[in-house]
Amino acid sequence: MDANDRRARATDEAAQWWTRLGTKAPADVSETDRQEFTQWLRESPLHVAELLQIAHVHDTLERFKLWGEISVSTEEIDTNVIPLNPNPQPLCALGEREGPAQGESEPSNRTKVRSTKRVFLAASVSLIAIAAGWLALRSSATTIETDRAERREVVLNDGSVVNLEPETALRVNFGKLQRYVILARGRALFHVAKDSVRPFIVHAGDTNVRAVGTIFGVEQKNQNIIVTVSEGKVGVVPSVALASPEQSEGSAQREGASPTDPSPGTDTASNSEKPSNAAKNPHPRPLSSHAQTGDSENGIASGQPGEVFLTADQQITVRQSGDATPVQNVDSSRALAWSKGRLVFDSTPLSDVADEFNRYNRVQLLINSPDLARRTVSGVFRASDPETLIDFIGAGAHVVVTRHGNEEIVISPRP
Amino acid sequence: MTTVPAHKSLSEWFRRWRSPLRKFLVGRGAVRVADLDDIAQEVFLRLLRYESAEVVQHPQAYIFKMAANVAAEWAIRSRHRLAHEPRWLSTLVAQDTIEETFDNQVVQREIKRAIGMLTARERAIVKLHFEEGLSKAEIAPRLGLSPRVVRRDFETSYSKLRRELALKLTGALDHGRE
Repeated sequence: MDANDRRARATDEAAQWWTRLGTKAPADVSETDRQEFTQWLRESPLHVAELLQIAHVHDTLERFKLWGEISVSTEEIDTNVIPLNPNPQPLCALGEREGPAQGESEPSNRTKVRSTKRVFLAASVSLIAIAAGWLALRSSATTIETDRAERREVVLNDGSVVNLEPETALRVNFGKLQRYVILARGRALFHVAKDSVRPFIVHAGDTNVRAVGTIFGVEQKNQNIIVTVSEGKVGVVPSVALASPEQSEGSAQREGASPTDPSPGTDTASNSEKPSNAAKNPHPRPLSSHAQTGDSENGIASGQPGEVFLTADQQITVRQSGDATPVQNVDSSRALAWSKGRLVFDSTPLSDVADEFNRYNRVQLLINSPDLARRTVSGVFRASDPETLIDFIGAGAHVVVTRHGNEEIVISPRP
Repeated sequence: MTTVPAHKSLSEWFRRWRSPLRKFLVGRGAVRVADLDDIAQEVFLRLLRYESAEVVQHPQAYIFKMAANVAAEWAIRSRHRLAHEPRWLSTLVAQDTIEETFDNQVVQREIKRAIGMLTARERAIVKLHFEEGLSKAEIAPRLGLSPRVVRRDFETSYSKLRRELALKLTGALDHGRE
């Protein structure tokens, strides 16, 4: 990233902080916001410089006197909106003028606005439709998938390396403010390249895992999300309201659950400071200090309520219900052995063991007896070598192994 | 660092300290001792010197107070150093007329031009906020937009204007003095 990119990013983040905090009374600024804001300022002189610049922009706008000459013509906005109403009224998207009367300032016309409520509704609906279409088109996100018996190591464009285990699907969407990866299924080990500005977010199920520079594994297993950290530190937010990365990107990355923002008006222009929505939303999402999220609406911001931090050799399991187990201390090399092509079982039912092997191999194991399937297995196996497992099973139980070409190995109890 | 009053918003703090700052921001200080990046660098170093916990109490206040202090200190230093130059003296007088300069038609036109670079929706939102004093929460229903869209448009508007206004405004100010 060159200096211009860093400057541009700092500008965007400063604009986000300003939008979030600029006109808020300190009482309405949460402790978390203050901490993150301070942290952000202390990250780089560029952040300080750009915050001053954005403050200057705000100041400039407050002193601007020719608002009446600022055209907000309906035509321009029309080009972005296709009204659903078959006989659309002029779209007063600005709630201001219906005629061409540019250059005249009109008194506030809220009554007029009310009369065009239906049009606004149509407009917003079509905006959503357009936004969806735009996102679909835009979708610069890359999807990486592995098939059965396929493992891949992929270097992402930020230098991070992802090891995808078999039957895993990832969607990678990197923006200016965050690096966003959706683990749609399967499991993967992430070696995250350091980038203090863009946090690396892995979204799996309803869980977000946020990292800056670290190694950790995320797996989806039996509707659970298991996060294991090998190096560094990650934040895990169970059950975040999922926003698409596109939505999050560039938006107040940092807000969270709150659908509304009280966003008080300028303090000069009016006394429109509104009571904080703190009552509704006791944990207003701050801008993540790494855009943040921009990206980080919904749960990617640091210090998010419910965020649990894991360090090396720790693991957490988030169940489908959104409940998370307490953080467990584990041997990460063992817990993440799958990333090295090893499968570790600890009193695991043979049926699950077979499923696991089957993901890694073309030849498929079939356990032909419920009793046998319930038997448990403990041990470490090479994922690519089901024969070792078969030998192991054969040593401990009376079984018959039947091979059907290179495709199937059936294990049945000896009659 | 002295205790700072706890009731001011970020923008109020900026307004309070902006006078020395703006001389740097608009590049028309009596003596150009440094640019904004230098100021920011110094503020950054000072920020690091304070205990995090102390700054966290009122980062909004600290940032602008420090910036203003740095700007003022540097301005005084350089003024002393260069006061014997008559041509600097004349600009020293002009220094206090910034408020007037800001109202200068040229500058107003320049701001208008920059605002014109925004998209129609961004213009509408910024206008409702600054002209009519509507809060973001009030703007959203008025334009039939979600609060998130409004917030995001604010952010992008500020970013764009920062890029548009930066040098060009300075240029316009210089031009306005001629």
